[in-house]
Amino acid sequence: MSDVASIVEAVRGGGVDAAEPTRTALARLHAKNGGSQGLNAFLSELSEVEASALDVSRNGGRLLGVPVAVKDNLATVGFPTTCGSKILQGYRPPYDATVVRRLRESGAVIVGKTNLDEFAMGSSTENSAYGAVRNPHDLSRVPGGSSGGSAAAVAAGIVPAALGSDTGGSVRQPASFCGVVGIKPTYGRVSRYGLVAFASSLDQVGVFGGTVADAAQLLQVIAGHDARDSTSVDLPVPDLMEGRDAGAEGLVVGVPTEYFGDAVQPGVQARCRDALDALQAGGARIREVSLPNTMYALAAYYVIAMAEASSNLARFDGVRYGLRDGSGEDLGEMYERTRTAGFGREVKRRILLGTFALTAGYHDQYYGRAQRARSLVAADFDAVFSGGVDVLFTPTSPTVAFPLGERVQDPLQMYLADVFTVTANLAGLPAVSIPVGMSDGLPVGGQLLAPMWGEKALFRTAFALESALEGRGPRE
Amino acid sequence: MSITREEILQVAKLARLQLTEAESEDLSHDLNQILRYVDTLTSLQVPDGERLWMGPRQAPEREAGGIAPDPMAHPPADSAPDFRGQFFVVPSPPSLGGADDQGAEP
Repeated sequence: MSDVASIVEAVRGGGVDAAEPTRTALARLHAKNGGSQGLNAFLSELSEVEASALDVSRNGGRLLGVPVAVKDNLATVGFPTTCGSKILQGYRPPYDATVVRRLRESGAVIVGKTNLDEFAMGSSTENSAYGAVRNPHDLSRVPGGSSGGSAAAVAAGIVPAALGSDTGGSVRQPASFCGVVGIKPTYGRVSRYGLVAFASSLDQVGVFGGTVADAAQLLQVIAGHDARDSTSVDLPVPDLMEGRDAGAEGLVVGVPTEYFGDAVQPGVQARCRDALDALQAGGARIREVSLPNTMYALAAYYVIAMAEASSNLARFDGVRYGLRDGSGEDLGEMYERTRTAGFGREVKRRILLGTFALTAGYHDQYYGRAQRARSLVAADFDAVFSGGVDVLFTPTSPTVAFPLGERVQDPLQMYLADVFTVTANLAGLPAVSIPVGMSDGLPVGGQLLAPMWGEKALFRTAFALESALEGRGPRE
Repeated sequence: MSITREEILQVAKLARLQLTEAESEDLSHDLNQILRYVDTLTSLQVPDGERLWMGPRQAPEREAGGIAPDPMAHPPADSAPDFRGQFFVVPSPPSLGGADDQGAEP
């Protein structure tokens, strides 16, 4: 009983007490999370008392009794929401994010809040004020980031599914490093109400699952219009499980040449080529395509994300939330001392660069050009999808999980870990990372991308690929 | 393009951050490395009339009046000492006969 469907079936059938899956998850969490060799994936969790007092309704709900972990940048009543930052230490939100509320209403149980790069800024989950997260496949390596705690929690079997957020790959890249499924929906498909903003035009709540079906079932519950988020779109959510048995027959899978260059490790290249062979054997047609403006994507992404972050994080000044250093002589000094003490190095770096990019003399040179590059990246995808391609396939990341500490002093090398994932955020597309095999004992992820609102085709292909690769992933 | 230490200190002031000498030195190195990479954007050729990305397309217009008012996290009455009908009850100053006004309509 470790996947979403079997938990719901067991609880609904009455064979298992509704709180039992949560007690099991907490026992696993306590065994794996703490100590010098623990994962450090959770920042807070349900207490034994709270777990024993759980009242999970038996009257329905798609996720009845399913224990779920939630990234600690989503407002969650009953838990602190720290964003992995000292500046929000001890902050307890008075409301649930819409995605959290929908999970609870569907019968899911929030077992804990997961560790992350501070304010979701990072690709390794080493930038947390509460210590780095370790990869369950090799404790000396990073789990990816910024949703590394959620990815590690699913990979370690603590929970069958978890929520993360994806601004430039923060769900897909850790899913790839940890050998689980991670999806970033179309921008606007899922409400951002209650998600602490990093870069509002790029942020989207995403889902981790041990399998494609686990991820689909969670996304089915959290997706849909929300009047509290003006960027959430009022479109019907398709049945994401519908294409489970449809296979790959007739699908046209595009392979962008720009994503298979020399920077991709040979083992990653090989597993991704195997995955394409498997899709082809299942009846898909593989077509080489070009996305020529990919070369500008990472630079454009970082300018836009940092500019938006510098604005969004201005609200953390010691007045309303968390930490306050009131030792200065006036209000301005209180702001400065609080922010200086509360933010970590990477966050300061991004705020400074974002502020610089928006200053009068440099706005057009950086932010203006980045926005134009974003338009060209989106136009590349439009051209490919309108030319008959159903989905695109790429490696999720150029490498497998790298050792802890290897890139933490080199921000540019760290940013390059996102080179294949930022494009989906720039263009607002849905994309999923699924395990496609192992290289040197570490998981490799393959990324599928679909047109906007194309989650149905995306999941159909993901189901087909998962089925075709059965036995080659990290779970076997 | 590069950024000087003086510019970093000026930007830090705008961003309400204090930097030590060592921090501004380190950040100068980091930011210049990142800016050199970001300078790849200078070779970008943008066609005339290129539309800037403006968020999700193909999204239907919402029906007028179809958006529900955003419910507050806490109803206002929870934060008020008294609340009658659609009004907060605010005690009047004693000089205006405050104590006697408690039962009056606000």
